[in-house]
Amino acid sequence: MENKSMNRRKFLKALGAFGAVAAIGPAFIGPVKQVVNGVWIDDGHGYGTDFQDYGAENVIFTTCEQCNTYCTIKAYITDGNKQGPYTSIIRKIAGNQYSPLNMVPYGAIAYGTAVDDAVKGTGDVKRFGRGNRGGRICLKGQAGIQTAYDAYRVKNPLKRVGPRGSGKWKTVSWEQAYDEIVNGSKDLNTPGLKDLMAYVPEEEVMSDWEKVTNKEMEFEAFDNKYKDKLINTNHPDFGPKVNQVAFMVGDRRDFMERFILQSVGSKNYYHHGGICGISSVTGNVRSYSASEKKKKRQYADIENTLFLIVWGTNPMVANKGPTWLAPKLTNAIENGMQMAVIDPRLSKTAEKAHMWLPVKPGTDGALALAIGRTIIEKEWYDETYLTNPNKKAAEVDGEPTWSDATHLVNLSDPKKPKLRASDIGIGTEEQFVVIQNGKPVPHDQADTGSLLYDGKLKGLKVKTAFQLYKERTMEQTIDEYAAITTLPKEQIVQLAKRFTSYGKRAAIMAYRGPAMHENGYYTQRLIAMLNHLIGSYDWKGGNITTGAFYKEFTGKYDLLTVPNGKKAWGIPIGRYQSKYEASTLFAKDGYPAKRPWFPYSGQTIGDVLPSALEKYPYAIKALVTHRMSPVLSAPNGQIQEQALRDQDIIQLYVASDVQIGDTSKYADFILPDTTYLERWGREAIYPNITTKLASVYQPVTRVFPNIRSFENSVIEIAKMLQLPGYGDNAFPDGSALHIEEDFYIKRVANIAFDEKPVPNASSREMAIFEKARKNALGKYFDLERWKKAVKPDEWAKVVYVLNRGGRFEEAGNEYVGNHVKYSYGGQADFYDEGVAGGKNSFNGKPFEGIPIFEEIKTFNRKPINSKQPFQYINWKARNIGTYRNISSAWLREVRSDNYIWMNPSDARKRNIKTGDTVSIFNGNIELKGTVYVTNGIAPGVIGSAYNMGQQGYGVTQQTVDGKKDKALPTYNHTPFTFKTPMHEEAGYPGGRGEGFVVNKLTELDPVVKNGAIYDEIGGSPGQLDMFVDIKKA
Amino acid sequence: MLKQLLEKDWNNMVDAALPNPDEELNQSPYNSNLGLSMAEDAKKVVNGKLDIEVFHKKYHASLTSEFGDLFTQAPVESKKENGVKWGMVIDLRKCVGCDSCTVACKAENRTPPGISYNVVLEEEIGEFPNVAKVNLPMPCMHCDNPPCVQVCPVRATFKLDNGIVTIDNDRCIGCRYCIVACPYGARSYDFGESYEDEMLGFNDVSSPEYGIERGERKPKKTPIGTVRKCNFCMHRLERGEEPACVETCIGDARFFGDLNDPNSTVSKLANSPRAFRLKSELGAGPNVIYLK
Amino acid sequence: MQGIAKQEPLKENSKASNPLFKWWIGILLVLFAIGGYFIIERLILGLTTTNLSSITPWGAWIAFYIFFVGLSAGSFLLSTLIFVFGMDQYERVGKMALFTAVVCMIIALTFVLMDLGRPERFMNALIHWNVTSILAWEIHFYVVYISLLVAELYIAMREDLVRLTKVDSIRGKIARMLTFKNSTINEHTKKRDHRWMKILGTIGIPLAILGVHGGTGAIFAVVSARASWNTGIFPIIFVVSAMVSGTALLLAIYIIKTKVTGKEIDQGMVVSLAKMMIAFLFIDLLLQFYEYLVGLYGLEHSHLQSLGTMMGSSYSWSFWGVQMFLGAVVPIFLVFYKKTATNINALLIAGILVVIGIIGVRFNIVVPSQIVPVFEGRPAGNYFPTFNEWMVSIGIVAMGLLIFTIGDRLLPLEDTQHAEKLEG
Ligand SMILES: Nc1nc2c(c(=O)[nH]1)N[C@H]1C(S)=C(S)[C@@H](COP(=O)(O)OP(=O)(O)OC[C@H]3O[C@@H](n4cnc5c(=O)[nH]c(N)nc54)[C@H](O)[C@@H]3O)O[C@H]1N2
Ligand SMILES: Nc1nc2c(c(=O)[nH]1)N[C@H]1C(S)=C(S)[C@@H](COP(=O)(O)OP(=O)(O)OC[C@H]3O[C@@H](n4cnc5c(=O)[nH]c(N)nc54)[C@H](O)[C@@H]3O)O[C@H]1N2
Ligand code: SF4
Ligand code: SF4
Ligand code: SF4
Ligand code: SF4
Ligand code: SF4
Ligand SMILES: [Mo]
Repeated sequence: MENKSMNRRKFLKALGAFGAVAAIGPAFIGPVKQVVNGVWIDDGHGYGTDFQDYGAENVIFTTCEQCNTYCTIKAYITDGNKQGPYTSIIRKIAGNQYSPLNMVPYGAIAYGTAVDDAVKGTGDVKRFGRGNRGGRICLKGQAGIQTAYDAYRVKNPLKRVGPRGSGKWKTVSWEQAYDEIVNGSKDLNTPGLKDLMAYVPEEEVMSDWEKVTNKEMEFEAFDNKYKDKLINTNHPDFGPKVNQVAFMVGDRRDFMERFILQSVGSKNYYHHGGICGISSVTGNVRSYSASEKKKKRQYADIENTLFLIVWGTNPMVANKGPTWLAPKLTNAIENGMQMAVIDPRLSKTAEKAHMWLPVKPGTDGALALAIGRTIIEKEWYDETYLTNPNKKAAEVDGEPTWSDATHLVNLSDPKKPKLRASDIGIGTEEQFVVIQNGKPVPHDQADTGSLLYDGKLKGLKVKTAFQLYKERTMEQTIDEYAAITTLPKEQIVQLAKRFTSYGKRAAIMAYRGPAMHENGYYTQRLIAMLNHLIGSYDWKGGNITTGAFYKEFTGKYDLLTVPNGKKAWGIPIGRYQSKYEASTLFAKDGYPAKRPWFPYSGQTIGDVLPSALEKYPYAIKALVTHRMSPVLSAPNGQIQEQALRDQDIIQLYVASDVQIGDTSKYADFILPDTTYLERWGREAIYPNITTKLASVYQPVTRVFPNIRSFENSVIEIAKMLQLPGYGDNAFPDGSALHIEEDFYIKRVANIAFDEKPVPNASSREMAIFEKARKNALGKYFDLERWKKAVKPDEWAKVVYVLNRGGRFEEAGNEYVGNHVKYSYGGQADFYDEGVAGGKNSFNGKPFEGIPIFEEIKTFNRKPINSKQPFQYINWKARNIGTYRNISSAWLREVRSDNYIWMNPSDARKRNIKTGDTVSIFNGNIELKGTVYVTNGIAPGVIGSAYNMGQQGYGVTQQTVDGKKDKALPTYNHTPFTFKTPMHEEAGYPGGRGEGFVVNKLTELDPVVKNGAIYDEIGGSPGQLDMFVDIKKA
Repeated sequence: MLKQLLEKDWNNMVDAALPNPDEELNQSPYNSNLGLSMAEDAKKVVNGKLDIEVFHKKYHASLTSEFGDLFTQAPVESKKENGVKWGMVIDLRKCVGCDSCTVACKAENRTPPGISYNVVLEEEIGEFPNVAKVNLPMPCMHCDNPPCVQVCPVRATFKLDNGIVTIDNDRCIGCRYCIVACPYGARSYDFGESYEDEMLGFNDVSSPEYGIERGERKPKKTPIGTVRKCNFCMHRLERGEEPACVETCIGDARFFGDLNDPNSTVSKLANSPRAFRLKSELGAGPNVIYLK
Repeated sequence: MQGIAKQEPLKENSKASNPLFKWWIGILLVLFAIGGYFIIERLILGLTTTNLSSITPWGAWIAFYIFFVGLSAGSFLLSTLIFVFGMDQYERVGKMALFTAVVCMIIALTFVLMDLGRPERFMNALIHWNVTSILAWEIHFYVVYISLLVAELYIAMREDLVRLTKVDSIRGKIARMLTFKNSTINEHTKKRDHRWMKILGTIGIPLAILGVHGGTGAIFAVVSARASWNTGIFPIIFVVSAMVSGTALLLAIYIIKTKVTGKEIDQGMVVSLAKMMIAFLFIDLLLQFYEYLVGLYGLEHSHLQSLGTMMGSSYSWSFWGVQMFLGAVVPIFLVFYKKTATNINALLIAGILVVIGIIGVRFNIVVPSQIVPVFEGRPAGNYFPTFNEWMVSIGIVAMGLLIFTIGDRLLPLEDTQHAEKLEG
């Protein structure tokens, strides 16, 4: 009533005004005032003084997991109206000001800054433009809020109803879920984990098996003894039965590894590395030896580099991570750095480059050889560096690293190993040999060696590694290489020239582009060797190998050792790190193997399910996936699905997920995990910054009440299975592991106490810690319980680290003289004798110790001869992180489709225009996409972002407890789309399922049933070796 | 019945509670009379009874003798120059077209579907392999002579002293004339759409645009039915934070600050020979300045 | 005088019992009711009921708004021909022209109200006045203009009203209410009224041309962000096309009304009105031609784009089909072709087509330049009215016609003296 009368009064007043205005005509007062006071300015309305300011008790620092970069972040938390299921609302995410990752180029705030001051800001916006109340993060990170508060998340443990993938579920209690997972489910006809846990140590089995082969033991007896423990007593090398429980893990790998390898004891542990950058990692690791530190990646000291080659990676958008790499690059360019980008398409990084080399996909090896040949012919390499055969010699020249360029290779041995001093009687087996002053000398005795040598020593044919490399580069002319790569010869020569013109202040950074091919390992090696030629390792402005981390798993607590734990062994079904020739299968099948084996690769997740389909080398019984979606991210999702769908292939499938995804939709049980904003965890950035750090995850909100972090589920299940490493006495020091905090808070204690321990949190900071978490987590914050995870005297330091989201070394100590402090300090290898001694499992032909350029080949070593005219490449969407950000409407607003890039000359021929729907097919499968015609891609090559086409995340409606999920909302009240490719700024999000799953186009190997083509050395599937044709749909 | 407290009772209580100001001041190592008379005169300045310049002249000598080097007098500036004029500089050479600004803005300002205060336009130039891409991030330009303000029939949109072009969403009648008139496409109409169906809690919090806390987003509640645009994150500026898009800019391409301060980063960049303004021929006078 | 008194009740009866009239009112009521439903829907749901967007923020309702403002100004200017310039041959339509002008303004402003995001705040437009805003000036001009129209109409009707006070009917009652004590008619008052008519009309001319319609054109013309609006002759075209549509509408109304009421049609006037309409149309076309020519010649990108959108895209049917063919070519043919030049029905069709053509003109003004991205690189717009927008529009127009019909019934809008003569 009151309101009404108010309105009436207002109305009458307004009416009066109307009358007055009408009567006296123009009301002059307002206008006159306006003219006098200035026409644009007004005051007295339209603004207020409520700025939603916040203090330290509204902020928690944690880690972003919107992509696999794992940036350090700051979350500002408010109450929300508490009508919803959540404990709080994340108001805004920004970068962590304490962390160097988020503060380029200004630098992190001092680690000692009081949290109050940090949160209130230490900057000056007016003059310097920065308040330092938050740092940089990328768009995906900004949108993390929508991952946590997504209405379509899995909210309760789900049990399948009806056949796999039917989209029908029922809610079960956690206890029931655990019980049926552990003890089996009658109605689903799934076995229980408890019956699949049979384990036996390797030593015992193998010593008995040796007896069998030596006829000291009857097979019968062996069989009787082990038939309940081994997968196959004919093939004891397959390992224990527990290996038939396979795990695919996306994150929190330390916790999961501990569980799988030591508590469960299964060798079938896979993480996403196998489809991420495995051939790059293999190629790198195998290019550097003689250091305690593995060098897995190529990164540059960007701030000080003068010439940078960015090779098949896109640090402005992807890599790890754009949050700091992008501002470093833009500032370095501003300061005079020159950049060349080698990429078949004009990536966001290539846009900024001084040279763009649109190489033909998969021919990077030829390009590297061409550059190498040029450098060698013109002698532009760093001779001093290359002639140092050992650390001592290098040190004399002020070089932190050296190479094996001068080391001799024994070509008379069929395995082509490096020549040992013992082979020619001048030393031991540990010593290599170099030629100094024309004479062979053990490599560690020489202070210099001949780069080139081709001769005989003691009847053995030998050449230096460099000689071999040189010969390799000379196998084809620059013109021939240029023709292969489709790049102009002049450009290649110019690149070689410039790369070698800046001394140590040049570097190559490379990642997935050249590596995720069938020839990826060789290619990555060839690229690494270009870096060898200038030897800028560990130099300020050169190639860096940092990754210094505060100790996290040892120190106060040994977190990764399971007392009385098992040791997983056997041949993993993905056959990684397994030599075919050494297996009992080889004895039986000989060449060719049914599927490729991967003696050098550490990860091969992509072929696990396809192999399971063929039960090669053996069948699996149970599968656990955890933040992994092989259906989307591994090759040929349609085949991955076949295995998942079939209960004869996988009898039990348990998925840990936050959504019903394209893979987890086939699960028997889905255990709803917490999102990264609701949990502890541990993942960290790649080694590409020059200071030491340790980041932490911690919960900043809780959105749904009945979800549990997968760690907590693992702990419960492990307890039920009575596996070692859980409950009381879970850690070597006797402490317990009952909840995830028991693990993760101990880790923080390790970090806090490493080196010189951090200060204790002040009482004010203690109060902030509690208040912030009470605000954020409500009843999910159990202070007393958390405190119990560590010893009382450790707590204040733990809080100090948690309050800052990690531990970060202050800037200013990055360099020692002209070298980076956290250095590699090892040998750069031209020659990979390990690989040289290996054979491919198709015909037993040896691999090459000096990498080679080869066309893309199928398992039978025949070049792919696709009928399809286009090579199809793919890359990381600028706005979507792997497959897991699609729930963010904000990100879909930026773009929701993976447009197919196509050169105008190709488009014209097919009469295709931007925006056209096309059908794209490779002979096996036909998909639909939308074209973007652009000059930013080479003719003959087409490609797109890979991260789209999701059918999970609510796209396919699911039925839980008989109730169908609501259909996903659509936006935009008009029927018009307002978006053509590259003009999507209308602000309306597209659908979650737009675009298509690129991996379905992965080339199938005609020789391997249901198999993709694989790099047998590096281990990566040919994710970038797709061959397609396209036509207007 | 309780005794009715009178004004003098309150005064007595306060006096008793407060320390004696004279005593306190006498303990100061500095001349407290100077401070007192300055305070008196400062009041006059504030009330407009005394010219600021007279004030400065009057006290300059005594302050210098009293504080020596510690005393530095701000240059006497005219009233207009005294205030801050917020401005942004975007370096197109550094912008990597990542749209982090766009999403940061969405998260900060909680704009609904269909409204993006910042967009990044992409344009391709040239032919393979000699191609270039232009990434053009565009917030509101906070024009000096804003066409949007010019046309608004009700003065719902206007410039604040600090240069920010504001919208009084309580006055706006939703005629959308300003959208039509803005040459930069910076404005959007709030149709009332929401993300709530897929994002729990979206409606719960809204951004206090122009310092006005509006609480939960509900149908028909302001600002729904009115026009919205980039506000230079005024609420963030007021709490000492640069705008969200600037804070997060991955390319380190966005700069922010006081254009009235010749020593500010933005002023210096704005004076660079690379500086230009979009559609400058229209004379709107954007305060978002680009570097070529 | 007695004669009238006797005649009136009769007339009332005959009018009320006219089945055509009943149908007419019935249909209008139904349309208004349907429109009302959609108006309520629009008020509850907001502008999501439309196909408007932030890219194309103005649509059908704005087009109709400027169309009806144009009609109003056109009718008014026609009325001034009679009352100011003494072109008595058109006197028959004089008061009707004024009344039409009023009703059109009511319709126009209702469209604006529908289009406001916050219709309940419409009073802000009068309370807060931005001197630099053409729209603000317009709103004030409209108020003055409507007041002026009402005053003029009142004076024009006064004599008849006074006469009507004696009649015992609703009309009489209304007449008594409206005349107050001001009921003397004599030569003096006649002269006075005449003078006032002239004065008000004279004030009204610049008001209508500059203020109301030219001003409405200026709302668009001043927008430098939209190149194809941003020209000097844009407001003039608005005025001229207002004259075109005003004349056409009156022509049509006059013919229809006289036909319905079974009265005899003043053919001479009709033909000359039609000629005048076409004359205005020619001027209009000429101006448009130069407008487009200058636009094309300027080679300014977005200007070309919006011309392109108007003349050569999926929207071009509205330009070529409605604006040019139906709205210009056909009527010109009808008015000049010997066989149809004097045919009342043909001229009626010509009038209606011109009116429709001008609706097309209005759409082509409003929509195409908002389809072209305001800033190159932004997404292109797209617009076609929703069902709701059409229904609301129909409802509003039905409301206007109802007001017109009722007003026509209740107010002495026709030249009664003439009528007497004819009937007597
Ligand atoms: N936005 C975003 N960022 C991400 C991710 C994401 O999904 N989205 N994912 C994260 C993860 S998991 C990873 S591993 C990193 C990966 O980081 P990057 O390695 O930088 O990512 P990609 O986009 O896979 O590949 C890099 C480039 O290789 C090019 N390329 C394709 N084929 C070839 C070729 O034959 N030769 C050459 N030279 N180049 C080629 C592609 O065009 C692409 O530009 O990014 C991380 N960051
Ligand atoms: N063709 C092609 N294929 C590629 C790539 C490419 O560039 N091109 N990139 C490769 C790279 S680099 C990588 S790293 C892989 C990534 O491949 P994946 O690791 O499989 O992909 P993600 O999208 O990270 O996560 C997979 C699923 O985990 C679930 N999930 C999301 N969040 C959570 C969570 O918080 N908890 C749990 N338990 N589950 C969650 C979701 O269902 C999601 O779909 O893809 C690879 N595949
Ligand atoms: S780069 Fe990845 S981890 Fe870093 S903020 Fe972006 S999404 Fe998060
Ligand atoms: S950019 Fe547009 S909205 Fe912003 S001030 Fe200028 S005219 Fe107004
Ligand atoms: S929509 Fe609002 S701000 Fe824009 S012109 Fe109309 S009243 Fe002014
Ligand atoms: S200044 Fe603030 S409101 Fe404007 S675009 Fe940037 S983040 Fe958005
Ligand atoms: S965040 Fe910075 S670099 Fe990225 S698009 Fe925006 S302005 Fe450009
Ligand atoms: Mo990855």
